[in-house]
Amino acid sequence: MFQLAAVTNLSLYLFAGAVVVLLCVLVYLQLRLLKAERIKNEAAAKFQQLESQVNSLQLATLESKLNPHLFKNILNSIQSHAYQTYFALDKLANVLDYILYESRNKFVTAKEEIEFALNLVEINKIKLSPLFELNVKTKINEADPMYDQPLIAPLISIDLIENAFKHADLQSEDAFISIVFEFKDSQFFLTVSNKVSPKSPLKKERGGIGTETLEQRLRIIYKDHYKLNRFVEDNVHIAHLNINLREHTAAMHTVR
Amino acid sequence: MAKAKNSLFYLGIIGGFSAIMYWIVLLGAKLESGRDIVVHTSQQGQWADFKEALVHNLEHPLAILLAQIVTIILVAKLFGWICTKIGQPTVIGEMIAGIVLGPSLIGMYFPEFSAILFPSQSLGNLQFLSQLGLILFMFIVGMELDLKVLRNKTHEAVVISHASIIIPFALGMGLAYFIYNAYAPDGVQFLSFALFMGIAMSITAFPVLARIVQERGISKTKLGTVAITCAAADDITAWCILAAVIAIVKAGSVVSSFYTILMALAYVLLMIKIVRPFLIRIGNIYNSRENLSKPVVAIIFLTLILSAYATEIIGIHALFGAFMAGAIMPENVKFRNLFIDKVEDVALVLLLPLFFVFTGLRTQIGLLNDPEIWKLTGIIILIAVAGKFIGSALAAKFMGQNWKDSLSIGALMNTRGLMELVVLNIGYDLGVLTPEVFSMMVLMALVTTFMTGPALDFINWAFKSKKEEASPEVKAISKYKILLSFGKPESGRTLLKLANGFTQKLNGNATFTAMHLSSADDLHHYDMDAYESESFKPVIEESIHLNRKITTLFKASTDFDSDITSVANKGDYDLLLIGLGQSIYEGSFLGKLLGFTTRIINPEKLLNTVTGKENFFDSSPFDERTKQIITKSLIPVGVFINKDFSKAQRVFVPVFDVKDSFLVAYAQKLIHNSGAQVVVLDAAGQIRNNAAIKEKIRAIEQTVPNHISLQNQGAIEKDFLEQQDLMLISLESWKKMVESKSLWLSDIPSTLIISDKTNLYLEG
Repeated sequence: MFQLAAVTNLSLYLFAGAVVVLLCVLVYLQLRLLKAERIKNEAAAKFQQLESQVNSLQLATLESKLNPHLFKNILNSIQSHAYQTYFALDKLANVLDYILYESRNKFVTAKEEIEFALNLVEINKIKLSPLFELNVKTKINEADPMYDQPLIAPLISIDLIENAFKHADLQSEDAFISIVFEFKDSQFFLTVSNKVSPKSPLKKERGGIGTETLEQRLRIIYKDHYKLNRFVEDNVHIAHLNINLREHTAAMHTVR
Repeated sequence: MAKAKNSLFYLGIIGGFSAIMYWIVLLGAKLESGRDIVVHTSQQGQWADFKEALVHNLEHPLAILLAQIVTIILVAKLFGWICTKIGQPTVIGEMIAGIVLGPSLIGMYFPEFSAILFPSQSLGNLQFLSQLGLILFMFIVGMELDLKVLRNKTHEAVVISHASIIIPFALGMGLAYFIYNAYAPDGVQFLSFALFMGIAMSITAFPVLARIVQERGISKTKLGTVAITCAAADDITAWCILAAVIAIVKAGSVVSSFYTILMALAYVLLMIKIVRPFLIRIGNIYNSRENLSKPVVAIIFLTLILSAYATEIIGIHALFGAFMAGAIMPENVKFRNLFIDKVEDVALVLLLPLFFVFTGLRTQIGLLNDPEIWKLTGIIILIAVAGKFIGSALAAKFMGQNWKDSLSIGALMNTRGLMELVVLNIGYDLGVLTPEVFSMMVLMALVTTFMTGPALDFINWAFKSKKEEASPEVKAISKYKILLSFGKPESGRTLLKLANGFTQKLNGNATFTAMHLSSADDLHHYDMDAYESESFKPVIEESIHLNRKITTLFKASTDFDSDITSVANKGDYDLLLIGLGQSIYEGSFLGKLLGFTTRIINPEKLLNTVTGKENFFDSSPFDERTKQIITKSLIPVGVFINKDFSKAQRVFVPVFDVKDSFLVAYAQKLIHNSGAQVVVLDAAGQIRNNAAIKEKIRAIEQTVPNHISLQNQGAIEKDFLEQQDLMLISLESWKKMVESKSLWLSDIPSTLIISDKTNLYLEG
């Protein structure tokens, strides 16, 4: 009986030992699991941290790229303006030369006057869009003997051109300015036309002197040998100046 | 030596034969014995003899006639000159000269002078000569009358001109009713008198009117054309009425004039149906000065004289025949001009002043010695002006002219000038008008002609104060003018689309002229109009579609390229667009390259190559005609190669040279006007180093982003080219490309090759 009991005891111990071993294994495994979990969490956290770090780095690089691009764009437009300004200043220098040295003479050649006027047009261009319909034409018979003779009063074309730029209706879609110089049969022609706004002009404090002085100058210098007409039709203003130099010189000679 | 010999021979032969002649006279004097010879011996001596002979010669009819002509021409020219100085037509001066030389002035104050220079028996000669002058003049008037003008816009003009005849006609007849008892010559029926008063009131002088219109530079305006057309219609109608009136006056009543009028109608039919076609054939054969030979001139003059003769015999005055002969002359302008040149000098300078003076000699202002008569003269003038001026002005206004134009037409139609004198002289000759009425009417003619110029000035002045109108020439100066020249009607449509792309937003400030030239040899006069309208049909359709105004220009030509360039250069155009015919490239290397033909061997081409006419590998960039046009033209020329062009949205501009920078200006127009997107390709790296061009492009980019971009890479992709609508390239670059046989030429889109010689002012 005792023996039986002893055998039963042994198996009991064996069973208990197995249970303990299993428990130990279980605990161990549990511990390992926990550890793995922790490492994983840590890794994820690290990754997240790294990711955010990378993002911010990327952003930084992008931003650092963006700034020069902005600069480039701004530079582009400033450069463009600077060039236009330089260009206009260059033409202004020419105009100044003319005003300082040539306009002191009583008369200049048609050639000089036209060159001057072209410079003036270039300066005025600065206020226009480059797409603006500005039409400048010169039709000149250079073989004409009077073309190279000092017969034109200096700055005579200034008023008409200035007026066109001053009064042109720049906003309307079919706006245009057209300036045509002609020299043929010993006659000087200047035709300036531009779109004007149908609205009545705003009252200005000063103004209107230019037109009068031009008329006055022409009358004193060329007497009956000039024609200055202004028309407004369909919102287009046309100024047409014609100086007959042959008649003018003939009259001057007979006076002498 | 030879000289001396010749002199010796000369002296010998002259001296020798003179001696023989003297000897014969001496011998002959002996034969006189036995005959009664009366020798002119006078007591007065040689000098007195000579004086007597001189006076006798002076009174000889031919001498008097020649002296008259000299005086008349001198005086007429003097007065004509004075009139031009005060801005009147010369006709007035000549009319006044006639009156001055006549009994009204010289005859009254220097009767002796007048009796010597214009003795009454000499007036017959003068009359015949002046009639001859008038016949020639009417012939010219008939020739200058362009019936084509009438055909185009008959309706309006005919209404105005007929109103301007019937109103004064009726007023004139009304006046006749009141003055018949007091002023009509005895034995003249009321009908005759009234009809003549009527016709005298309703005459308009076409030549004077045409000259006034021309001198005032309004011949191209609407007013000018309407006035000229009215006057032409007026002229024809008035002459027909005059012919009828003469027939009636001669026959005595309307019924008995029936035969005359019938004859006249038969005559007109004969002239139009038989003589005219004959003359047209002659005109077609002889239309240059070289082959206008004497026989042809003789035929024309014979026609004139026979026609005048026929009408004189029928009884409707030779003038009508002369006018008719002129009017049926071939409508070939060259032919007419040649003939007018021939006749004009003799007729207008030599013979016509005689007519004026002859009229002046009959005009006796001295007869108007009663205030009552002067009052009547005033009334006549008033009625004449009221009828003609107000009548035509109202008619014109009713037909839709504005007030200014209507009044101007009235003033112009009121010009009676020379034509009135013609009518008056006929009336005087027929005995319908008394010298008093004749003189009054001459005064009326003078006043109405004289007032035309001042009246026009006054109308201009009166309407000027409101609004000043720019002359069309001045307006045209500042416009952007494009000339399209095309051969095939369809290509005109494409060119118009392209031109529209450049100017769409400019509206009225750009003008298009579509020109079609046709070979003069292939055209016949009769189908010209049909051919013309057919050629312009697509262009006009397209212009309606685009809502743009175009002017068409049709011309028969023998030398295409010269005609095109001369129109372009003289017409002051800003751009000439021509299409590049595809057919000329058939079978050529370039044609193959451009994909116009699949076969490189074209039978004709091959034949030409074999016979040495053409070089098989000739790769010149253009055909001969295009080359000529580009060389001769002074304005920018665009040669368009069409490959299904519809709109210019994507445009490609390759720049090979700094000189090409003018293309940017054209690209700018495309951007502005049709919102195009332009890619400028810096093919040779030239733009990068050129601030001016670079800045120009950049400035556009700053204003309208996404419409222009500058690319630097050299290679051109096929896909890229296929996406483009249009390529703009300069002529020089195009030549280079063709010469170097660039590979991408076969893939190009529609292309505009621009040659611009005026691009000196585009930088900046």
